[in-house]
Amino acid sequence: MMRSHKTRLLVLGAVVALAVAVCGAAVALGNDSDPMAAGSTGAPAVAAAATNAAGQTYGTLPDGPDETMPDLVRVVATNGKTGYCRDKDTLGPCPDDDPEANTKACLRGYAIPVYESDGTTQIGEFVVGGPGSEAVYGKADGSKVTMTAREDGAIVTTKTATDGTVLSQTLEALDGKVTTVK
Amino acid sequence: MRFVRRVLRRVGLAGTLVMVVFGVSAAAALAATHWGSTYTWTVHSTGMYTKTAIVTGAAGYGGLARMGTITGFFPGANHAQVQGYVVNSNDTVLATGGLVQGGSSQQYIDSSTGYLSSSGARWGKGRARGLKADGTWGNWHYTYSTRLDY
Repeated sequence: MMRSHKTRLLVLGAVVALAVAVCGAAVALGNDSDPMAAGSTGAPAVAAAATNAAGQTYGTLPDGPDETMPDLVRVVATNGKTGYCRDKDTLGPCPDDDPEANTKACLRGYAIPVYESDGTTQIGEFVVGGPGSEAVYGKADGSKVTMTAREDGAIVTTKTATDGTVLSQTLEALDGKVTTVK
Repeated sequence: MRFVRRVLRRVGLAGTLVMVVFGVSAAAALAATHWGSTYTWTVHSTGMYTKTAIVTGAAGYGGLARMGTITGFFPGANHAQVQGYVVNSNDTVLATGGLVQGGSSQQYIDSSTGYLSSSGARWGKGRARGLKADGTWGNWHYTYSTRLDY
């Protein structure tokens, strides 16, 4: 009888120790996780926008809903250098009156220049969009259309019903040829 | 020592197991938060068609990170645009999916920044705007996700 009590106590002790360890680990994880959990805004440090000799503003992306985007946005170029690209260059290579073509071009990806803060000295390139990018549109009837760019530049357009059923799927190659997959 | 033994006997194994389950659950919940899943931020605007813009950031998507997605809801909008970004801890842009725009039939537009394996990605940001009834664009509305560690 005494022996079973001792065994039981040992088990209890081990289990309690495990529970304390698990809770401790959880708290440790939580402390380094979501800044929102601590009640902060979660916003990264924002560098104040400056103005170069040409009168262009340059800096980081705005945080506030109604803040203004600088003319030159700070980016990391494909060569690893930090510089600035023109905000308007990120809005797509196609004219505003052809939004579908513009969206597809953004999904396929295109390169834009990266400058020093003077806005004229090019130091590299930045790629907007590219393979893997996708655009999803919700329809009034609850269905949705997903457009995804493949590595070969083809755009896969999938129409999905509200229950997840794939209604249709097409493949548009770079040359504009459309193939119906489903 | 006798007192401790008495308490442990009364609490019993069942009570201790409840503690363990509670501890594991709490750890799992916090770990899930740490690894990010999806965060949302909501920006409300007035006087324009862009009602809500949400930026989500999700780590661990297919082994890579998919972040900086922005979803804009535009009930009744004639036309709308959204753009999502991935930024690092210095708020410098690592990637953008470019502009995604749509016409009157869309209830929402969701623009992804694509897929990054960069370990420097820490934040998702985005902007959205709608075309007003008078044919002019509303202001861009900016928002951001919370920190993403992976």
